[in-house]
Amino acid sequence: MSFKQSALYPSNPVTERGVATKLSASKDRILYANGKTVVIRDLKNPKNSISYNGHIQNASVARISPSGYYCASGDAGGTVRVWDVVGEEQTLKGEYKVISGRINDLEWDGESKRIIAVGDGKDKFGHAFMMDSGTSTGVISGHFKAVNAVSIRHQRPFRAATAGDDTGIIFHQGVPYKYDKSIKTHTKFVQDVRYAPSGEIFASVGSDYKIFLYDGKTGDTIEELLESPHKGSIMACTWSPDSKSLATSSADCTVKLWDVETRKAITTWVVGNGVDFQQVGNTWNGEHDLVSLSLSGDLNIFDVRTGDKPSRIIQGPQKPITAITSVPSSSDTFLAATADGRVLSYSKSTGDSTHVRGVHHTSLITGLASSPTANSGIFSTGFDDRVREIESDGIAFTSASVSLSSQPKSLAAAEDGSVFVAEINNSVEVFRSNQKVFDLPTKYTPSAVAVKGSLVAIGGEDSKVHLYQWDGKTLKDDVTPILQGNKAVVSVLAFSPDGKLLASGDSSGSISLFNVQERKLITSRWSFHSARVNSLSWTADSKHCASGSLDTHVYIWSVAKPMKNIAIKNAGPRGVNGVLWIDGGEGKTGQLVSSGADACVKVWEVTFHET
Amino acid sequence: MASSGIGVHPGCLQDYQTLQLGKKLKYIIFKFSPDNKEIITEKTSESDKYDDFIADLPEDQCRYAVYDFHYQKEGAGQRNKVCFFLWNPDAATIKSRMLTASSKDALRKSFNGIHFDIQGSDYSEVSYESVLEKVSKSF
Repeated sequence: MSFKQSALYPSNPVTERGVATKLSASKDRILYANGKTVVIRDLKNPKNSISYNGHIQNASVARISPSGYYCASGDAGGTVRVWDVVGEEQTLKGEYKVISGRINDLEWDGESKRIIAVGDGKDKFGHAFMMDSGTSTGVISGHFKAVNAVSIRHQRPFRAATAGDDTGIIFHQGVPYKYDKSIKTHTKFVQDVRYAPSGEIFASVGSDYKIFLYDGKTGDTIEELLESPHKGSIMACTWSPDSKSLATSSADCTVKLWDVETRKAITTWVVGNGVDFQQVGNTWNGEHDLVSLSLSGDLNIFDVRTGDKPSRIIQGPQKPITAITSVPSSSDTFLAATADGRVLSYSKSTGDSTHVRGVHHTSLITGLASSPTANSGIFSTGFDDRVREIESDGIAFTSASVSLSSQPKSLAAAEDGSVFVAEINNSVEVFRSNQKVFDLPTKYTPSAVAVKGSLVAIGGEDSKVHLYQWDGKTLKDDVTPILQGNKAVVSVLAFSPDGKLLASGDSSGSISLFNVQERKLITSRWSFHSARVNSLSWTADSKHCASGSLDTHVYIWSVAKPMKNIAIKNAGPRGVNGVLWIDGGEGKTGQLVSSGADACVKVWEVTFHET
Repeated sequence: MASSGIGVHPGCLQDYQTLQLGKKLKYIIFKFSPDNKEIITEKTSESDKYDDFIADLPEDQCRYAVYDFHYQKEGAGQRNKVCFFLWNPDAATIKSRMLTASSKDALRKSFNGIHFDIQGSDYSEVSYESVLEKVSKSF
């Protein structure tokens, strides 16, 4: 009776058009924010990634100290949190409210003692402080609009450069940091400023498409990089570890690599064409890898030794995951749907995720279900009021789709390929091969649907489970049309794989277990959740059922011993939306995935109770 | 936030640093450069007479100023507050008054550690007594 988190499949960074997204790197890992979550993604093995959920407001930037022991992350409320990255506990070292608005960037000094955080504020736009006590170590002044970036010279004498929307760069002397001079080179917003690791030189890039180099000690402007300029706002720049090359990412969809000594562009990578391919952030990782972020959220990894195209592209969810389902034809794959209408295909063995190709939904996906038979396809429905089909291998959407008469709440797929959709205008529509075959008007508002063989269960806002028989053409009332057990709106239904049991979760957090053959309630002891049950998943042997809830917990229930359960507390910050058994269920152990509002997928190794 | 696009000359920031950190300068007066492109320092002074400061605010032209205001708090000793002045006399031209108001943020927001903002359109609003009253209301 135990569990352990064995892997985390991370989300990708959240992006916003025209706003730079800060990425940072430490060893083989890169850091970024997704909503309130800070993600530390391991580039070599994504399963070893870490998520941090300490922020109350949306996080914006995270950087690991040069020593490698601590991470500092800033959020939209102006709070910087410094926390331990070495241990499992992520112990908080300090929390400092430094400015009144969003933190746009922060930087550690070379001794891992001081931090400068900058952003948008009312009275000041930046603050320099000690990481352990929060004591001020200088004044960041001279800006009169939001500051976008800060960089610190890691060698003595310490210097810091800040750059912002007021088109100016302010050069500070340290320590304590104080105003030295302002540098007026750019004519539009300055998006990024970065010191080379050697400290000899620093670079700035801006919305005026320009790149400038400055002396690291004095702040004097050395030169502008004029040859083969970018044709769009440059959102980020980053230095190679040997300080010889500079990489710039631009909204003109290109990434350029510059040789600093000769002031020439060595390589220009064209990532794509169109808004989705605008580059909004970058960071250097290791010796040769350069990571550049597309507006679509894709992380493009370039090997600087080779030209023409990214060596690989990392895809992942940008928005909360709303549903998970298995892919019957492939045991290594499962699918997750997101709040922005995308479906991702995950590989269990590698931890990689890729977008399902083809035309996707345009808004939140409410239902994702696969037909139990291997070749019948996988179906999804969302707030764009359409049902779309994904090919049975889980790689691409089929071209056809059908529209619904109103907003869908839930979807289920039968073995014969029929798709049942519960909708809020009191109807359940049935589709097969992209044709509507039946429409059942109901006296109650349906809120959940499940199907096993010819038996269709529909949960309603009347707190009842309604049973119907499906003969391939029409839905007819079952001999026992109503199962009663839940006390609140039925939110999710799941038949056990052997068809003998039906679990029904409701919006108050309790789950009722029904015997399907006898059409009666077995137990309502499965009531440990304190908020809406969002997802249910049965093990293949029908002996255990996992539930994920808005209360952030996952419980694993035993049919043989309804009193016993395994609680995975705080499995998904801000709510669990999907749970799925991806392995086992035969006997003593199983592998469960859970996901939700933090857009990360967690894998749990579960050891069941002795029976 | 309305902004006229007028910039701040780096010298202004330097002078402010001297006032704030050096404790020697008493006040700085800023004005627009002749071509109205920038805000520049007109005068820095170490005179601790408030009347000298008032005398430096012209009757018919707009100015910005920073004044390091010292006063005695009853039973609590010496206090000093750095005040930012927006001097916008009624006698100045409409154009310059509007320009002054819309360019204020560029200068004001570059300064850290200003305790009070004082707006004046005639001398009664910037007199020693009225400033003292406003400043001593706080701690």
